[in-house]
Amino acid sequence: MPKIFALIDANSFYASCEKLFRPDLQKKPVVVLSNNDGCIVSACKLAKQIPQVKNFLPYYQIRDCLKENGVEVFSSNYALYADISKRLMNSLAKFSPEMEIYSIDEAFLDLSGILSNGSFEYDYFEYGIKIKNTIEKNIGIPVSVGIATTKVLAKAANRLAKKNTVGVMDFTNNECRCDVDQMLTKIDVSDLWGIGHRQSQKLRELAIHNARDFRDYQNINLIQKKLTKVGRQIQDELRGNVCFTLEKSPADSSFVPRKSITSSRTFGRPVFSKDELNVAIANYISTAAEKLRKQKSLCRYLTIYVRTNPFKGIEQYYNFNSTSFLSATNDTRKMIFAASKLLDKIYRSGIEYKKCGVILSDISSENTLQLSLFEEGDTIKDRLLMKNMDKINTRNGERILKVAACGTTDLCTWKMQQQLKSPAYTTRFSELPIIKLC
Amino acid sequence: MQSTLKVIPLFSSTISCGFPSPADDYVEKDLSLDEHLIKYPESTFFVRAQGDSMSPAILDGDLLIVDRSLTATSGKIILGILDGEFVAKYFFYRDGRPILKAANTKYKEILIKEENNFQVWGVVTYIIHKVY
Repeated sequence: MPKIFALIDANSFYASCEKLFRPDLQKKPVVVLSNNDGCIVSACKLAKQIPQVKNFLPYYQIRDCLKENGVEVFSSNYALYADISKRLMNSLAKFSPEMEIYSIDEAFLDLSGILSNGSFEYDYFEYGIKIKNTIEKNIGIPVSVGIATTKVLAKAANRLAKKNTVGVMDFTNNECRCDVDQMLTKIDVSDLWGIGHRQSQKLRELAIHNARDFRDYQNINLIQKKLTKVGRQIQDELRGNVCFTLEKSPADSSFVPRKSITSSRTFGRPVFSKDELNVAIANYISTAAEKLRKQKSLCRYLTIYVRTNPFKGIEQYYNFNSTSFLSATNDTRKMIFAASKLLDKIYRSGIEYKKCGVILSDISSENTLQLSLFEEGDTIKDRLLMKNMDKINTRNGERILKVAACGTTDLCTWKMQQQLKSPAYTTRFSELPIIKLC
Repeated sequence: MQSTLKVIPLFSSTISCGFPSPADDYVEKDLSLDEHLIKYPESTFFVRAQGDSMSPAILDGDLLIVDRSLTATSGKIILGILDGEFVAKYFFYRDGRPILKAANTKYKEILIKEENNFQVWGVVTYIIHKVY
């Protein structure tokens, strides 16, 4: 039996989340900025009609233009997007027993056989419409649905669905089989899933410009040679042969143990002194180590890096330094101590630093700890201290207990610049949407 | 999603005196207000009411539980969007036309006209009112 995949993708997800609790913005252009208000990362349909928005220019360059066009601007509100994403995924999970959460706002569903259990109530196109309408009513976020026999084709169908008025595109519908050829000519190879800029250039050298050209290109050995096995598989998927199956993700993806944990931010203002960098790094380590403990893991390898602002005409500097722990650890204090020694080696004075970060890697489970002869691992006392610190901090929703190296004074300079952030409408009782009864 | 509501344990026996209480076999699971008040977690949202137009049904400061997945039928309190603003009112049909009615008689009912931009955002399922 042929496989049937659906790719469901939210339209302008972040901007749509911002509109959910702001009915006054329903018919207004809305954009959302990246971390630190650097550039636009999401724009609603109306906002995309403004050329400067489309080109994803840095925010400070187009601030005035946005104002003139009456564009409502938001800082990223990840607490809100994560909550809406969870609702979206939980709703989608009801449409198929097999689902792959692909990103915060898109998921693949395996629909194979779902409609053939004696109920011919729907065809796949109608099922797609049902998915779309249910999500839009229950969650309030517009989505597009692409349906096809492979994941690559479903992704392509989704792209076309975003442009048509229905919001659903079904390549499996036999009646419009001849249309699929025509549809695929509308998709540039660079827009295909898994085809990056370099691969698309290589394809253009072979006079392959759109998805149909690629599908029908006969010399598969040459494709294999130019684009490796993955390129060949993408071509095969365009021909309807399944090469990529669903990668199943647990319902709560935050509990998938990560192979490495990164915490980094761009500073809200230029930073020059080593003390300030130390405080910033201590804070990032605290965040990363909390995540490490939450997934019950230890790390053996710690990397820190610092860099200047590459977009500014100043002396440029980038450096990083790593160390390994003889016994894997998740103790914030040990890591901060090690990090400050690393910083000693790479810090240069007189430099205007814009960003620093920490990476924890070589991660293993707490249960498989191998002790070292030469360095003491975390003692039970250490573990209890960290555990209780996390408990108190989780209960209060903010870090009230912290290692002294994290600093006690105003830290807002290395916290994100988020002046235009909307309330945490769905995750804090103190910030619920207010409904005026008048 | 919302998991902040506290679980209230249902006690089966009060004192343990070395002899197991026969009632222990009948312990049921803890009462969960989340489960009781929220049928469809994905589509349920909390909002805060402000103002007196729905008094005495909804008072200033009350917490409303709103389910987007439910269909608005006559007599329900709905959270709607009328010309770009949230409204919470009783919802009725008269001669096939939707009407929004306040609980407080000081406020006039609103007859939704063709030129109005009206949508139902969700249906209010519970009103949580603090008395302590």
